[in-house]
Amino acid sequence: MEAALYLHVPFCRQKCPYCDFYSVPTKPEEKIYLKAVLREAEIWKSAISGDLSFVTFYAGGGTPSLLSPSFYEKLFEGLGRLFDFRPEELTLEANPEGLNRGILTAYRKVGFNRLSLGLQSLSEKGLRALGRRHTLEKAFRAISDARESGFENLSVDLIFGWPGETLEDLQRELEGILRISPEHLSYYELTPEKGTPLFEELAAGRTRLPEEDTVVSMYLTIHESLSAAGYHHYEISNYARPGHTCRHNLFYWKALPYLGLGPGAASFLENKRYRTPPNLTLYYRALSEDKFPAILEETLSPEEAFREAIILGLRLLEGVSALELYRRFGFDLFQIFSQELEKLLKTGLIIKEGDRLRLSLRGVILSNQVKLYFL
Amino acid sequence: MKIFPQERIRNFSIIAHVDHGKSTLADRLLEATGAVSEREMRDQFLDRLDLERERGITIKAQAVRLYYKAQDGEVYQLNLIDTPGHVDFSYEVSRALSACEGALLVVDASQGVEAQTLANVYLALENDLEIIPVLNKIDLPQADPERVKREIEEIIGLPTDEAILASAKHGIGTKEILEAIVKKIPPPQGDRKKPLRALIFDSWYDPYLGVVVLIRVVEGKIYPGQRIRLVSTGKVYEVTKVGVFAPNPSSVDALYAGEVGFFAASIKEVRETRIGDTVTEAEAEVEPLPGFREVKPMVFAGIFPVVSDDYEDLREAIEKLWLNDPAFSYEPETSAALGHGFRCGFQGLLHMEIVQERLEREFGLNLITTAPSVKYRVELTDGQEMEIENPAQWPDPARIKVVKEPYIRAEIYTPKDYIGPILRLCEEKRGLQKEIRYLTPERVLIIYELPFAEVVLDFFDRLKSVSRGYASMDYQLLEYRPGDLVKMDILINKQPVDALSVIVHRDKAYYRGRELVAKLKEVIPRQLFEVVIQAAIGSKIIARERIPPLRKDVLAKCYGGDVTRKKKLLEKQKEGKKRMKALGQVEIPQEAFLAVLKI
Repeated sequence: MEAALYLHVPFCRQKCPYCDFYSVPTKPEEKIYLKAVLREAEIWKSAISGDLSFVTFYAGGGTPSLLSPSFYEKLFEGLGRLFDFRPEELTLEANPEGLNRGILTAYRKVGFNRLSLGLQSLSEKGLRALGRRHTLEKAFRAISDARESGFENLSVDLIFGWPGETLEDLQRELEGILRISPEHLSYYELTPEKGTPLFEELAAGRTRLPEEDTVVSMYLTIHESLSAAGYHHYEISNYARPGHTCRHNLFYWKALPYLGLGPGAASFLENKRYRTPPNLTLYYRALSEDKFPAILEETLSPEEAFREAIILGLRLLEGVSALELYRRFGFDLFQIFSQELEKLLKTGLIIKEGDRLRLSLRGVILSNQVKLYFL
Repeated sequence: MKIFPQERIRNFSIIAHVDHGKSTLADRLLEATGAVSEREMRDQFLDRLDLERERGITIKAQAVRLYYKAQDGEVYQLNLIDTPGHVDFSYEVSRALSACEGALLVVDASQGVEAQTLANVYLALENDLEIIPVLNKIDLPQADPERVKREIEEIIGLPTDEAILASAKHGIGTKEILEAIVKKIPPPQGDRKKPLRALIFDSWYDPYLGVVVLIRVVEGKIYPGQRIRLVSTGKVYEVTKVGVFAPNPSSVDALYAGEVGFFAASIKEVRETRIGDTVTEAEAEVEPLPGFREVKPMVFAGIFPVVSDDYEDLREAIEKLWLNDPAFSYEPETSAALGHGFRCGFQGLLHMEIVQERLEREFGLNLITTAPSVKYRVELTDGQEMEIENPAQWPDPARIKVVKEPYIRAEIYTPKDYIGPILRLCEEKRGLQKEIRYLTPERVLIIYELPFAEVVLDFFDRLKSVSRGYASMDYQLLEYRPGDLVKMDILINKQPVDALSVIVHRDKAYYRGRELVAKLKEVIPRQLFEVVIQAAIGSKIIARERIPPLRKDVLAKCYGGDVTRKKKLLEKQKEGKKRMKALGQVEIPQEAFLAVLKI
């Protein structure tokens, strides 16, 4: 069975004020981490019943570009010994700082064929508002280095709706993006997560997000500009040139199996969701004692799995196919949710086309309201 | 087991204002007599309902038996009957007091005499109880026992030369209190050889014992195997178990005249036992004991299930709860907006809150309570007179000749520093000043006549806030007086919502209308479409607010590691939605129906 493999790299130079992904601000000890991750993979191998073929690999974080190309080389070797590991898409998340043509060429050489750059903003004002370390110059340099090192599939991460951002700021940013012309874009609305410094600042009233109406206009502006430039808006926050959707992330949104390695990673296998506690010390300790570092978080009943597949699937703008859902789960979407759908279709948030159900553009922006019906 | 001699029995209760330390003192008495070991001890031991512990108040009366070896060397049986302090629960108090010969009057040594202290003391005096004053919290730096003693003498008219100085928190004075109970409170009277007569003062359903009946035996005895009869229904049962709370339930061979305890018989339903009824022997001919005076509800509100399908469950729950708390009344009501429910009458606002919370918690229901209303009397032009306790029944204004509303006499006790703001509050609430009297150089009694409708809304909260919690109030119903009252309707997207209508004084209609629609705007969440809220008198719109449509509700990110957490967020959102009532397309949260209380 085809599956996706994720590696969480829990290291950062410094935490960003809005980020709630797990990372520690320390210099990674590559040897120790490599040994632990491979040991974890071995334990999974003995625990998984079916045969998994990993068709995508994604190093996310944290800052995966803090680990050297040779770390990944050895990791891939190890994974190849354990699993059917012949990924066609290998993504490395990277921050512009610390990148150069030499190291990018080396990453390319060990097998990475997709680079996801954490730009976050194309203005100094935005970078400051988001508390990012890199400069704009560094960002543009990283992009040209990536191109010259042979990365033909480039994705950039951007954030909109940061404190102080105006619609004009965003439009200027979009012009800049079109000049960079990445194959793929993730454009996230800034979401204050509990426990982050940003959340505290907002709660204390020391900073403020743009008005809701402005944020909605930003959403629509991004959708329109990128669509006009030939990008396909394929997920709530994701855009791609034809043929460049992120295959790895589709495993999440289509509720397909994935294995996550490293502290803070999640796995979804045979309707069971596992999570490795986001704590590097505990992770090392568990593995040094040959213990399974992940905990079983949830076992979904067939109906829960079906509902979840709808909720996740609706994140994709192509929506879900009732036929496919029926084949996978044995439940008829249109029959089980007939009452809910009657109400929902009237709201115009959702569109039914043949056997497919998908969000309208307004439905995307109000997607939680839709998902509530399928919980 | 040896029969306990009547002359060594003492039945007493503790009366106190809320927060003056009644439950803490009860805890100390339990400890000092060894009824509860240190290990078993927990705060507010006698308060059984979760609600009582959380709120730190007593709602239901309790009876517990203690054994105390006094200084004279004899062992005494003490039956402590714990009672609520709040005026809304005076029905419970009067029930409990009728089972006693004496009472401890607990007064906070810094706060002094409060309105409810008085109300409960008067109840005790009506029952001819021996009253032992206890000045509690003497350990506090602001304690002023001499001043409070003077207050007790001047305001209540009780001698205080033998008042006990205590700190229940630190166990000071506990011994003295126990001795005073033994020495001052008379033993119960009542011939143990006569046929059984016992007064029912509470009953409830217990999953292990069935219906449990709490009684005070006045004459004769009750024992397992005995055939008994409830006088009001004439039904005969066989007693299966007789016991006392010590404080955990334990069996005894019999209960004799003068004792307090419980029995279980083959009684199937709580409704068969009426509180205030007399228990006697199956074949005996006896005079029934005087029961309890009936209480009339003062405040009325609708209670509806959020989901209409729960109506039957609500009916069952209300019937069951009523048997445990007959101080509220209920009758079926139908609302165009809320469907089938009940119009309930309560002793006051706190009582209303407690009934709603008990219905929700003890029966797992999800309920909407509408704004409380008093009972109005409306004279119509055709000479007819109507009693109206529900704004939905308000007649066409053209047919109204005169509307009368109930007035109360409010007695407010306060330190003199707060006279100004309290007078302003009373004037704002359309009050008529009757008297301002200095009870002591520091404490003042303010007497006002107020429209009761103004008091049920938020008077208590306001009084507490303008006096920083120091003022207290008690009230009695006076009479009905004419008032210029109108019905104010609330329209949501042009549709009148009957459950939101309120009766207001014409002079305050505009102000209340504006405040109410503003409050509704705050509590009603944004919907997928615009919502317009209007307040109207007849066809005239007096206030308007607009809730703009929800524009954005989206999770920007969701990858593998986020799924569970993001799903939980959605589940929480859905839970909130479930608790809302759908009126047409608009979803309205429960608190909207009580918004009028918050303005």
